[in-house]
Amino acid sequence: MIEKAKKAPYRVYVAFTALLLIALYIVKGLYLWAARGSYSKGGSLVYGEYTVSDFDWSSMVEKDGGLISTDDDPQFIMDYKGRVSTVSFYMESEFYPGEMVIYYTEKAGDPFSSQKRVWIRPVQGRENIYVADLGLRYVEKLRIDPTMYGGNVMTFGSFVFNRNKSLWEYFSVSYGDVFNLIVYTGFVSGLLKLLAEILSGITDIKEKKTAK
Amino acid sequence: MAGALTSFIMVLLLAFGLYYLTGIKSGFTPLIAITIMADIVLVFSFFGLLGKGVTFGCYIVPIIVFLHAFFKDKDRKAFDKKATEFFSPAVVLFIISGVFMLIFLAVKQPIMAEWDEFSFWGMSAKLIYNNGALYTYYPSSMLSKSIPPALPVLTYIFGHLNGGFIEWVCYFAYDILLFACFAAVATAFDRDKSHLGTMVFIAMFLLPWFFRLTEHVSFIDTSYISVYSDIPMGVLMGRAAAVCLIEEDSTLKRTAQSIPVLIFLTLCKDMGLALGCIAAFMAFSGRVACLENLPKIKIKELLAACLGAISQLMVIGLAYFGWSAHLARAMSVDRSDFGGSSGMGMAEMIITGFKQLFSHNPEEKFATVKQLMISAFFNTRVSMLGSGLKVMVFITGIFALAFLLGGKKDKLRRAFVYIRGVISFVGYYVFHLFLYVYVFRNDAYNLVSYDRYMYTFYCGFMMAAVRVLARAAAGQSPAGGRRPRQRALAGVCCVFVLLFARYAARGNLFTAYDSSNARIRLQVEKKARAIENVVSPEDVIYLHTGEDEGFRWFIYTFVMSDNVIVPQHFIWLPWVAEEDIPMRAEENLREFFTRYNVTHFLVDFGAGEFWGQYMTELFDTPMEDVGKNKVAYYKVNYTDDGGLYFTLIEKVPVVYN
Repeated sequence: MIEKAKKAPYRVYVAFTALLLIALYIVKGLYLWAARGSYSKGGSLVYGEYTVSDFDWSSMVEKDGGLISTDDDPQFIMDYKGRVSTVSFYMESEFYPGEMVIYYTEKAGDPFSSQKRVWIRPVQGRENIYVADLGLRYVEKLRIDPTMYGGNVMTFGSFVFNRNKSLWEYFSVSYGDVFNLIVYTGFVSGLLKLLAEILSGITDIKEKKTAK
Repeated sequence: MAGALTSFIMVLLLAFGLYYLTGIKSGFTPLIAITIMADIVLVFSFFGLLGKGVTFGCYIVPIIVFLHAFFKDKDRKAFDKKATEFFSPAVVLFIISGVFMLIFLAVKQPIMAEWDEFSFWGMSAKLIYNNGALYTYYPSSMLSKSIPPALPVLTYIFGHLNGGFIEWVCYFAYDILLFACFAAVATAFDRDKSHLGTMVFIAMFLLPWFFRLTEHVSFIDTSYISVYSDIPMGVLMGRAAAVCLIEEDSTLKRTAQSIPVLIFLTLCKDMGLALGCIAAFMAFSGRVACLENLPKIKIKELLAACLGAISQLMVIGLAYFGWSAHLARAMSVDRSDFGGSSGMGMAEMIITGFKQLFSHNPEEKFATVKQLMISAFFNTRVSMLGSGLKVMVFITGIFALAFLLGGKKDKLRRAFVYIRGVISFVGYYVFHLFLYVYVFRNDAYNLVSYDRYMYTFYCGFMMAAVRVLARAAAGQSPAGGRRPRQRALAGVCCVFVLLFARYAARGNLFTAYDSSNARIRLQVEKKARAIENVVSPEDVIYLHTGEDEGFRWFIYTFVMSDNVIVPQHFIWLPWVAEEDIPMRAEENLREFFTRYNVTHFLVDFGAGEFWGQYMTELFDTPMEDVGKNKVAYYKVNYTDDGGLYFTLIEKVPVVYN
C-alpha cells in the first residue's frame, strides 16, 4: 500500500489532505462540544448575563446614557473565577472602535499581559454585536478593552458569558474555514507528495544497492 | 458578475492564443494577455477613445488571436494536445484562484473604505465609469489627476459590461492581475511537478500579508480587497524581472514578453517608471550569459542582450512620455514638476540630492532624514520577519540556496541577479530619501507611509528570488541534483506558510470582510442620499466638514462623484483685529469661491469653532446646529458689494446606526 501511495498522482494527495483536514475539523468540533458539556456538568462553566454596572470600569465617564472614553485605554474589569467559552456583548460605538481585546489571567495575583489576550470581533451579519472566544479557559480575572480611542461614545447592552451553543454551531463553516481548507490543503498535499518522493528516492537507492 | 466573468474569459482566450501561436510558456500568458489588453485600451484612451479601445483591445484582439490559433492547424489532434498542455499547473491555479475570488467578491460585495481609495485609486476608477473617458478630460473633484491611469483602466476592462460602477469588480481586476503575476513564478513547474508549483503559488499568494500583517492585530487587512497600488506594483516589478531571468528562451522572446508588462507597470503610478527601470536592470543581468564563457566573449549574445535592454528602456520611456504628452495636451500640466513643497523638477531633485548625500556638511534636514531612513532599515518592522534588514537577509538566503544548490551553468547569472537587485534596492532607498526630503516636506520627519513604499520593492525582489530558486529546482541537471533544490524551495515556502499561520488570524483576512470597517463611508453615503434630490450635477460645491481632518471630504468627493467639490479652504487671517475677522473672512471666502465658481455650500460634521464663532451672519438659517447627525445644503449668493451669503435649500437629520 505504501508503494502505491508513493506512486499516486498529486490529485490523490490533494483529495487525501482535504479529507484529512475536514476530519480534523470535525474532531475538533466534537472535542469542544464534549469538553464544554463536561465543564457545564461539573459546574465550572456557567451561563451569565451582566451589565456595565457589574464591572469595575476606568477611563470612561457617563454621557447621554452611554459611556465616553476619556483616554485611549478604557477598561472593564471583573473577577470572574470560572471557565469561559465565549463573551459576547452589544455595543453601539460613535465611530470605529479600533482594536478590541479581552485580557485574562489564570492565577490569582498575576498581572494582565499581552501574552494572555484574545481579540474581540464583530459578529458577522449582526450589527453592533461583538464576540470573543476564550476557548474554555479557566479565567481568574478578565479585562475588556472596548475601544482604542478617546472621546468615543459607547452604549452597551448586556454582556453574555458562555452563550449556549447548539451542537450544529460547532461545525458551522465560515469563509475563513473555506479559505484555510484551500490554502492548507494545497500546501500540505504538496509537502506530502514531496516527502513521498524523497522516501521513494531513498528506497530506490536501497533497491539499487541490493540489486548490485 | 457576468461582465467580470466575460472579461476573465477574454483574458484566457487571449492567453491561450498567445500560447498557441508563440510558444510562450503557458503560465506567463495570463499576465501578458491582461497587460496587452490594458495597454491597447490605454493607448486609445490617451486619444479620448476609451470605448473604442475597449472594443478593440478586449474583444476584437482576443477573439481574432484565439480564432487564428483555433484554425491554424488542420490537425485537430495536435490542437487538442496543445490545448491540454496549456492548462499547466500555473494556469490551473490562476483560474482556480480567479474563480474563487470572483464568487467570494460577488457574494460579499465589499465596498471601498480607505483614504486613498477615495482620494485616487477608487475615485479615478469611478470617474472613468461615469464619463467613459479618462479623468483628464473633464472637471472633477479629484486632486491628483496627473497619476497615470493603468490600474483604473484595468478595473474598467473588467467592469465596463456591468452597466454601472461596482466596487468589488475593481478588487477583482486587481486580484486577477496579482494571480497572473504569481502564476508566472509557479510557471517553472510542469504537470508532473504540480505539487511544487502549487506550493510556490500558495507562498506567493500569502506574500501580500507577509508585508502587511506584521503584527497581531484585530482589524481586517485589506489585501485582495484593496485598490491601492503598492502591492500590485511590487508584484508586477518582480514578475517583469522574473520572466527575463534564466530562461531558455531567446533574448528576443524574453524581451517581447516583458514589454507589455513594462508598459503597464510604468503607467501604474509615477513610481512605476523607476520600478520599470529596476525590472529591466535586474533582468539584464540574467542575460550576461557570455560572461560565463570568459575570456571568449560571445559578441552576438552581448549585442542581443544590450538591444533587448535598450528596447525595454525605450518602451518604458515611451510610456512615460506618452502620458506626459497626454497630460500636456488634455490639461496643460507639466509633469516634470514634482509638486511637493520644494517645487523642484525631478532632475533637479536628484542632482541636489546627490550633492547633499556626498557633501561633508549637508543641510540639517537632509542629515536628520537620512539618519531616520538608515535607522528605519534596521529597526522599523516592515514584514512578518521584522525589519528591512531581516527581509534582505531572507532574500539573500533564498539566492544563496539557489546559488549553492543550483547547477553550475547558471551560477554566475544567479549571482548577477542578486547583485543587481541589491544595487537597485540601494538606488530605490536613496531615491525615497530624496522624496522624503524634497517632496514630503512636512511628513519627512515621521517617514510617512515608509512601510508601504518599501514593501513594494521587497515584494518584487522576494518574488524574483523565489522565482530563481523555483527555476533552479525545476531545471534540467544531472540526476539527483534537483532534489536538494526542491527541498530548499519547499523549505522557503514553509517559512511563508508558517509565518502566515503565526501572524494572520482568521479575522484579519479578506474572508472576514463585513461592512463595519466602511462605517464612516456608509454614514457619509447616507447623508449624501438624503440631499440627493436637491443636488443637480451642475452644482459646484464647497464642503464644510467642521471637525473632520479631511477623510470625510474625500469620501464625499467619491460618493458625489458627479459633482465637482472644490478643494478645502482654510481661512487664514494673520494679524487681523478681532472685530475685523468676520468681514475679512467673508472677503477671503468670496475670493476663493469666485475663483472656483462655487454655487453651493454643504455642511456636515459640525460647524467647527471658527465658523461657529465668526461666520454665523452669512447664513439665513443657522448652521451651528447641523452637528454630526444632520446635513445641510445651502445656495451661495454673491452680493454686489463683494460679499456673499448662504440660503438654505435643505436640512435633513440623518440617524446613525
